[in-house]
Amino acid sequence: MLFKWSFYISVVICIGGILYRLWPWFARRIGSDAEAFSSFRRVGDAVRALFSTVFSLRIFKLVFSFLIDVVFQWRSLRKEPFRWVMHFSIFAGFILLLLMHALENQVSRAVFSGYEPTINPFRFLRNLFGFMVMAGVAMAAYRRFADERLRALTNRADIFALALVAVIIISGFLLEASKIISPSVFDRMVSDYAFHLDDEESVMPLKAYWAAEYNVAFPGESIPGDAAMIADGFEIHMDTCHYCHAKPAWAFVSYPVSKAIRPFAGILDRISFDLILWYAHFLSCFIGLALLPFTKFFHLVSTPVSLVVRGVAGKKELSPISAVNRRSVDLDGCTHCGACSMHCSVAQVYTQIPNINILPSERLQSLRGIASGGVLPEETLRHIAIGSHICTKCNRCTDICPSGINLQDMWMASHAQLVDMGFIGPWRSVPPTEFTRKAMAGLPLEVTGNGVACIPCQRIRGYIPKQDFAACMKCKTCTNACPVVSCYDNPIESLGMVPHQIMHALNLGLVDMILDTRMMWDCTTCYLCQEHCPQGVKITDIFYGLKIMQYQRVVSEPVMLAPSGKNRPSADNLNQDDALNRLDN
Amino acid sequence: MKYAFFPGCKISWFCPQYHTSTLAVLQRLGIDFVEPEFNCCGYPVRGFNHQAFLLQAARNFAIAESINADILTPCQCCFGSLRHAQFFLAEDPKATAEINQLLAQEGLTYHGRLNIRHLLTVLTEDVGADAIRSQIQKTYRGLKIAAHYGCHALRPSPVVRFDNPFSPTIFENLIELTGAQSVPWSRRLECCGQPVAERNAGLSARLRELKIESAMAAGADFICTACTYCQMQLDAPCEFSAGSVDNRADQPSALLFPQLLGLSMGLDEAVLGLEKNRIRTKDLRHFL
Repeated sequence: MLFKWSFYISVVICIGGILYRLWPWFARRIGSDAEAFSSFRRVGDAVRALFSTVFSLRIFKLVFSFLIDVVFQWRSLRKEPFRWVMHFSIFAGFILLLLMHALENQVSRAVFSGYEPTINPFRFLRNLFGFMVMAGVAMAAYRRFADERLRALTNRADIFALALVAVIIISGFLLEASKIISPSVFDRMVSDYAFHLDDEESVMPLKAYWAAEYNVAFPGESIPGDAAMIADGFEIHMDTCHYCHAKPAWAFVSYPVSKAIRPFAGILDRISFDLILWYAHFLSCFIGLALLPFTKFFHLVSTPVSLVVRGVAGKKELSPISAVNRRSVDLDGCTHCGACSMHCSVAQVYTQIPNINILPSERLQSLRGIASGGVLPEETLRHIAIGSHICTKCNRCTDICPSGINLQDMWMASHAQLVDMGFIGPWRSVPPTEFTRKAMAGLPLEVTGNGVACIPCQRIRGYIPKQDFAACMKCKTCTNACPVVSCYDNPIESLGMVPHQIMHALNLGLVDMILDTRMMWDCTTCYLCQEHCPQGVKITDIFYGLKIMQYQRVVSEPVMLAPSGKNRPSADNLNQDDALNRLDN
Repeated sequence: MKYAFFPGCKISWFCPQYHTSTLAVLQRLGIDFVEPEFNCCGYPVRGFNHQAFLLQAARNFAIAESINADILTPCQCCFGSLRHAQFFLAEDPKATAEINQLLAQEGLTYHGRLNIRHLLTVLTEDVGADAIRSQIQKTYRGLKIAAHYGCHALRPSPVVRFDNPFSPTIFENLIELTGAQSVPWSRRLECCGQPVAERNAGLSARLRELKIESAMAAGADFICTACTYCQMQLDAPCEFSAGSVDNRADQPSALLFPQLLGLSMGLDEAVLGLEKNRIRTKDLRHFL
């Protein structure tokens, strides 16, 4: 009863949940071009794309991609053999268990005549498949634990998914083991299938044989173990039980477990341990089924779609509307395996700048927030923008992603979207400092003291190279050499300050004023000024130092981190004064 | 000498023809190279965090040193950035020790013994003009090339030590090996404008146009680059300022040096990827 109803309820939740999760595929907006397409049109495009693939020669591409990418998981094998063995063990083991064992009445009995779960090869295979899953889970746990960087990225959802699979399989093995030793199960079987053994005496030889060969425990009973008795039992066994019962040793995991728990058979039988495990086993399966749409298990639905879309689309550029749809689907295709972040070209930056959005696997999660159209706080958006800005769009994550997600397109589109929102690097969205606002408004300025206007020279020198601005004699060679200055008819008006003025302002300690000028951010770092400076002032390098100061000003607020990140770099790393002061020594 | 080929991040997506054509030329010249998995050179975070910049560069150094190879990069921004990091680390043993502590978590160490070379330097100094000439099958006739020196390879000269920062010749010498004629042009040492492409698109485009106009005024058929960023920037359509030039169709297209050299060496055109260049106002093959 419980079995039936919990099954129905979980199926309903699962199907409803999948539908609920599918809708965002047509509603999410990643990329500035996404605004142009309504969800209605996007559904239409997806249906059109599906039909035009199924009813054309591309159907072969689709089937091929399904077999190679989804079933065989070639993309994973190609780049990460260890992860492939791990994932394929779980995948293949679980699917085969599902077909052969969970759906035994629908599949196994229909395909194999005379199927019984306790005969070979099924008894052996069930253990083999379970073992495959457990081995895969163990490898996955090891993989996440062994690599410090991956351990830091592992979140609750990752652990939950592995733990639930482990509970399902372990409860299954324990269930089988407890049934092997259970005297109650033995008695039930005898009364069901060997009703001619109607008194204690006639059952005894069979008990003796099963106790010796099938590891059944009969606590509190004295079972004779002599050879003659066992031989008698063997005859009854061959007549009645043999056809449906392979030796339990074939259950190569459950059998040793049954040996281990046999000393406790009395207690276990009294508390109906096998019944408890039976509930644990099917309820954990149904919980997994019901939660499928809301946990990492949703990748069973979404990742194949991502993979097949990649397989069919190939390197061909999609139409804008299809690209928007693909990005939405791809956001769900991520299994958070971390492969991209392990190979990310800028992953090391994360150890120095504790912004989780530097790492592709994490930025993808953050993008869901933008894509759903909700209003994110300025601070959150800025951190995503900084991550997006540090990303070099090197295409490596796209190349390695085992789920076939087109991350390159995701980054390009979301970056353009963030730029459209005003996040050109971390600085453009920062309002001018108090000092500049006052200067613009013609208010009296405080150019002394510790206020925003004046930064002590000592502090400035911490950020810039050895031979600093103090040597500047305002000869304007830098300004005359600057190609940016030469682009403007009225450079001071357009740029705020020109290079020699910046050097002069530095000498006056007016750092905040400099950071608000356009010159700082329009500098192309071509080094013409520095190369030409007769005094050897490292002008461009000083600009870099000033940019670092500005970056610190922008991120001086507490840095947003994903709640799951462990072992992340401490906020102390934000304080670069020490590191930069060394340049001054 | 064995080289570790350092492609740079942008090449894979934005300029794959530079990758394939460079490797083809290196192979033809018999240069021994390997392709380990490097990370970013650090250039993009130089304005964010100095330590992150040094760490990224030093990690690459350590990877190359672990296989006893020198770094060879076709990108001038990567080259400049790596040379800067090497310069800073050499100046500051304390910073090196700290970076090495971070690298030790991955079992890596930077000893400070490797060289960082740009493609043009390797071709000039290690391969040499004679060896290159011996591989050239057909020379160009009547081809005028404007050699574009990238800023980050050329300056600041005490750090990068690439060539004379005021009158460099390395690029022209290589170009002329192919029979092409290098033309003098006023803006050959100036910035292409790519670094501000995002922050100030108008300024970036203006810098590009000034360069292209200057090359056009010098009668160049192509602008030759040896940097991923420069190629991305110069291989783009221009909106010329009114009256400055007569005909937009004459815009000299940007050409990667290994494409120029590779074609005269008779390398496979598909590998050189000339058709992947966006602007193709003239056909290089017509000059052979």
